[in-house]
Amino acid sequence: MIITLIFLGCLLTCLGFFDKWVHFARCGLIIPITGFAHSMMSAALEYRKEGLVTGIGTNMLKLAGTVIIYGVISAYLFGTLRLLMFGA
Amino acid sequence: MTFRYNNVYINEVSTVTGPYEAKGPLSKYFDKSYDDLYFGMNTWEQAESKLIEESVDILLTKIKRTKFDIDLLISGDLLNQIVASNYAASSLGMPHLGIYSACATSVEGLIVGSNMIEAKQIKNCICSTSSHNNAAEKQFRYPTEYGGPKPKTATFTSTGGASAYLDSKKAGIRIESATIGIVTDIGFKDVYHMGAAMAPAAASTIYRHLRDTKREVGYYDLILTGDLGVIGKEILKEYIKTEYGIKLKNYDDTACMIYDLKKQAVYSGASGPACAPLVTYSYILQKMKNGELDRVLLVATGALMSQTTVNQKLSIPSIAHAISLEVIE
Repeated sequence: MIITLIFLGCLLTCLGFFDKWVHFARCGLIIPITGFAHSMMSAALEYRKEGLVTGIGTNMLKLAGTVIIYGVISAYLFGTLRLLMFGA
Repeated sequence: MTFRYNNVYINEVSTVTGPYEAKGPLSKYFDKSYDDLYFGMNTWEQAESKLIEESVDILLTKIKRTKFDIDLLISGDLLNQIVASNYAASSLGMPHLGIYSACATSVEGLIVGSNMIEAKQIKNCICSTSSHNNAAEKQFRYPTEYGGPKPKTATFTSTGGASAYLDSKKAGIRIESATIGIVTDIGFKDVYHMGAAMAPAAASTIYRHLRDTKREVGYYDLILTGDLGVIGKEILKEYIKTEYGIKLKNYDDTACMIYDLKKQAVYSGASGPACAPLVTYSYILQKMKNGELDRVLLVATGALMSQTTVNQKLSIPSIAHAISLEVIE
């Protein structure tokens, strides 16, 4: 299910529909995993002409990078908290 | 700082736009409009450069001259290091001055060109400006395909290139006087509400222009601000009334004119360096030539921030330059 949603998010971004649907559906499309896929795909599309490394590689996580960084940090913090409170 | 000119005229103008502008109410006044945002080029940046190149080419055809007859090309755009202008100037092969005042670039160019013509340093010049919606989105906001919702106060960068041919030959529209703006910073930080950041700059320039020329607001048939947008326009009216005691009459904003605000999804209106000249060089000059307007004060407004300073939470400095256009008697 998740992989299908990610695929659809990417495909619709490439076809140019996703941003128009977001105007209508707003957080319904941006908050789920489709929004994450959309942010990575749109950045990759935008920078594809600046090369594989300096373009796509550098910029693909431009928007999604924040989510990953703070996702990992909060997972670590809450994991530690759970360990301290409830034991292993 | 206000200058008066005795012998500077906008002989001819040209405008090239993208598809959104062509769907707007002023479409019939533009010289050329494209259906596609790439204009046959490979990237947004090249497309923006093409807008300047094409508008200058159309202008040269209109005035029946070649690039060797032009003393100077003054141009600017919204991209970093004004690359669109630099690439266009490189292929046009004219002596070039690159300028930047964000969305006030068009009037800055007219002022620089007019001063040099008035001082007889050059015989003629071409002043060009361009902006491209997708190139600006990519540089200042998010990737173009990204559909993050924006607040209603946001503006939509217009796509277009506009050029004006300035000469001391008496033809077209006269440039009567100009006022150079002061950079104002009221500490406003919302990058999605640039109308509010730029309104104080516009108010200051209008006030100083009227003070220096000893004129009343009613002297002008139309006072036209650059790209404040629907909300910024109301802010300016209120601000100039309380701060300087000026009640604006016959006032409009080019951001509210170029698009159909009811049908097109452009938030609070247009923006970008091309917005003010696209409207002025097409619709307004046509109205002046038809005798519907005699005196117009064009006040182009620009927000002078960069993406880096926005991320550093610095406030947005703004500028407004004014130029007074008159019909030749």
